[in-house]
Amino acid sequence: MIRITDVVKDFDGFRALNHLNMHVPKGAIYGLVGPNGAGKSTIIRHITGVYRQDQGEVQIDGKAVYEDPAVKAKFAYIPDDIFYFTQANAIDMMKYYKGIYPKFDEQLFSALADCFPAVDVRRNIRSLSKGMQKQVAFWLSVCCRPELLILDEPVDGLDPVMRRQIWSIIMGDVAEHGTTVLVSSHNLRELEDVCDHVGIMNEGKILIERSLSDLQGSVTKVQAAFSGDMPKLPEGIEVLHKTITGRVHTLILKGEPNEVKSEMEAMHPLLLDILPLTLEEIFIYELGGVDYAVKDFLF
Amino acid sequence: MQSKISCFNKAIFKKNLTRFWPFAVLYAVYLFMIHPMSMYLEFTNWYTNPGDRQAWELVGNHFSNLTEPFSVCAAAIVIAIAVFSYLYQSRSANMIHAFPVTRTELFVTNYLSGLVLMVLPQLLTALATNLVILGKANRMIWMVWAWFGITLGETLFFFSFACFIVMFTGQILAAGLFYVIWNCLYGAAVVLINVVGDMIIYGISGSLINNPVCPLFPVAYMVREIGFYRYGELNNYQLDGISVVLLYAAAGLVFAVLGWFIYQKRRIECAGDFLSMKWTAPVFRWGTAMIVGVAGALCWTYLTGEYTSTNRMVTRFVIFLVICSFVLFFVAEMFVEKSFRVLKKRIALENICCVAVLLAGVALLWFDAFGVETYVPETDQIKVVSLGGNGSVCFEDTSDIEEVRALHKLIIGQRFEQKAQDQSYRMDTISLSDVAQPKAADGRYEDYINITYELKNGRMVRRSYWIITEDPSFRDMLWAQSESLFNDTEALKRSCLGMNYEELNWQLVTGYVSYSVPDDTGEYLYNSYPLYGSKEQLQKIYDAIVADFDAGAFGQYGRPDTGKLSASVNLTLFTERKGIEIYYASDGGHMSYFDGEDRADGTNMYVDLNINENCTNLIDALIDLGIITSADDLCVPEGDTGADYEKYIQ
Repeated sequence: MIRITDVVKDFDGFRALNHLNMHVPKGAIYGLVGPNGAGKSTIIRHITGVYRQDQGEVQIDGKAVYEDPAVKAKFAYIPDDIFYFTQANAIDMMKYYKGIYPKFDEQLFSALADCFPAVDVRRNIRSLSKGMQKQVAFWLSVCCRPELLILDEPVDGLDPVMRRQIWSIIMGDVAEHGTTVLVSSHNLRELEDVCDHVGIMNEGKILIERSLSDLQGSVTKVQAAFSGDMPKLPEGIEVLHKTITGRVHTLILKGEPNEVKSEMEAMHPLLLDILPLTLEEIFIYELGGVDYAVKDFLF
Repeated sequence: MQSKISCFNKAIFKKNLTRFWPFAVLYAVYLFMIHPMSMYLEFTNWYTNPGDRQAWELVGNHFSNLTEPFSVCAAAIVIAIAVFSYLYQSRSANMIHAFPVTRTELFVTNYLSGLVLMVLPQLLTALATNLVILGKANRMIWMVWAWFGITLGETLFFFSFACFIVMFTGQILAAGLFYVIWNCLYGAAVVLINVVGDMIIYGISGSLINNPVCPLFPVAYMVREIGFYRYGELNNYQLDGISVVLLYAAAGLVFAVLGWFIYQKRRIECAGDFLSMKWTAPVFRWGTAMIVGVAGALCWTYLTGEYTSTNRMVTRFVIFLVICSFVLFFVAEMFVEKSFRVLKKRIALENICCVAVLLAGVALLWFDAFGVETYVPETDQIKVVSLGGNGSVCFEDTSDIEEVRALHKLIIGQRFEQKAQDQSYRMDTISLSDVAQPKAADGRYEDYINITYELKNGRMVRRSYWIITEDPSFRDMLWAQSESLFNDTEALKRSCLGMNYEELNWQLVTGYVSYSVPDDTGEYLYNSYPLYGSKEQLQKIYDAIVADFDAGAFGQYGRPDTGKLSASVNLTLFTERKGIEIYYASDGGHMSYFDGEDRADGTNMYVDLNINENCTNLIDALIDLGIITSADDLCVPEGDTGADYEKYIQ
């Protein structure tokens, strides 16, 4: 759905995107993860056709996005900081979106009113709470009948109830229409629950991009205890991270969990646990290891 | 749904109108106040039942005193900023540009909605004004729609220009500032160059560049060139400057296209920046340092010390110029970078270059690299030359022109001495033109001489010299040459009575003799004796004036003013007088002949002369006519002058 090839963007000598490559498959829920300043919002603004890249290509469905309304009509974009016209209410914004998006579904807008009971459509949106404003943004975006939903920090600053509600709207739309979703967030736990693809970004580059199952399968977290010192690990098992608490060794190892388990069992541990690795842990180990060239053995 | 026209979006257009209608309403209120409302009040207050001619006069006067470009200019930038305001915040800029619309669609739609917001109030104003004058001055209704037409042209220019400026800037403050700067840049630059030239170049009196009002100064130029002018009858108005309106409207279209082009190149990430196009930053830095730096240095120079000598003033100016331009360069960079941390090597070097360029400019002026200071036109280039400061005389003969040139060269030869002279007021300074013959070897003398050449190619060269000297040889030469020229009998006569006074077949229409006399309290009262007498009496006065001219009575140079007589004679002539007039107009002015044929339509010409003690022929004539009894009457009259006046007019 989205293909970004060798994109470079400089801001006054600062390289915000550094030969970035990225691919979001059709129908995927793609989580874009990265620390502050990694370039997540910048690449999203390229994907939405707001910024023009200095180099490279940004394509949606094989077509360049920049200045192509037909391509841009395929997606709806919800930024972190949503803009609404001064004194506009939800109805005004709906009319505006209707005039902008060719596939805007006014009937759906009316039908979805029940899903947003807290939103007063006659009230100035800017006077609504941030959560309410986000709800209106999702409401409008869903009514655009987008093939692609681009969300920049969609639940940032919202309370847990509101977060769940927002994700429920997104997942509902995905389930119903097979919409592709590109979502950037700091909240890795939330992404882990909803994404099937993840791209980890740092310093204007995508470090890792793969499906969540592949990502989680490539690194294994092991807890093991031995009667004496831990024997030397077999050849071929590389340690990403290691901590020792008493006799218990916690290891982050490169490799598929079953393979790692069988290798470790051969070392006759008193205790052996293969623990699930959270996306947050992968993120931390990946970025924490950038300087130690950890990324090399993840591929 | 999107409009079928790919460069126009109805939803955005409607949104603009519904969001920004208050601006249009405010503009409409202003227009209603100054046009239909004002006219309605004038009709109801001044004329309860105005006749046709009164109504024509009222409407004609109303539309001939318009300063519409000012309001159009102001409204244009406000509305342009409003319709493109989304570009100034990253939040709105990112959102709007993520919508499935092209920049062309956004620009055209916003541009057209802005134009509608401006034109709609103008149209409603024209309709309302039409209604107000309907039935009262139907013949003048065309003026309402002509006003609408020219306002439309002005709107097209100013609004397009405002949009063009908005495209270059990333924030409201910058847009407003740049709009004002670019609208007034030419006028301001001319004023600054003239003031600097006035200070540095000897003899230039604010006239280094003569024309601050030109098409590059649109508001002032429009006010001057476009308008309704009456020719004869009350209802005979014509609209002047249609071609100017059309040219500006065409320029407006060019600016609109340029604005669209810049929008295509605009970086959306510049929202909130001072400038949207990075390549304009050096222009901004240099422009600020140069224009504002020079203005600041001038203010500092003139406000912080007395005017002493040119040398000292220029030294002070140069010091302040270095400080101002250096600081302002960095200040401009701070605006561009939105940071106080601008002390970078590259910027500092650029700043030094800028200051060096400014200093080089001052040096070029100081050392007269352009030859302005030492320029004296060649004799064969000169059509006529006027000498002023101690009277006014004109010369067109080659030998006379040579004399003026010699005087001019004499003064120029002293320019470095003059620049070094302390020009502050001193009690011991004697006016050179007030002494019969300078004799003291060590006195301090001053003189003020204007020289104006009109060249055969139509160009005018003006120089004004304030001369202070303690050098006896220079002083004596200056006095001798000035005395010879300013007291040239023939030149005086020709300047006053007409270049062709000998050929004139004039008719004396009227005249008066006036003088001031003290009343009982010592307050001076102005008395005027109208000359309603017979043609013979008036002829007698004229002949006496000519005789006094021939006797050299009116030459002022080297004639100390005794202050005894405070009288003047004024004659109104109906004549085919050929003369020379100097116009100091905003286009640089000109010195021109008016010849008899031009004035044969009956234009009156006036002869104004101050009567002095040497005007013996004129005083005798006034005594003969019974206007005065003796020359003393013109000085300190005794008795009831009012009775004399009553007696005379009977």
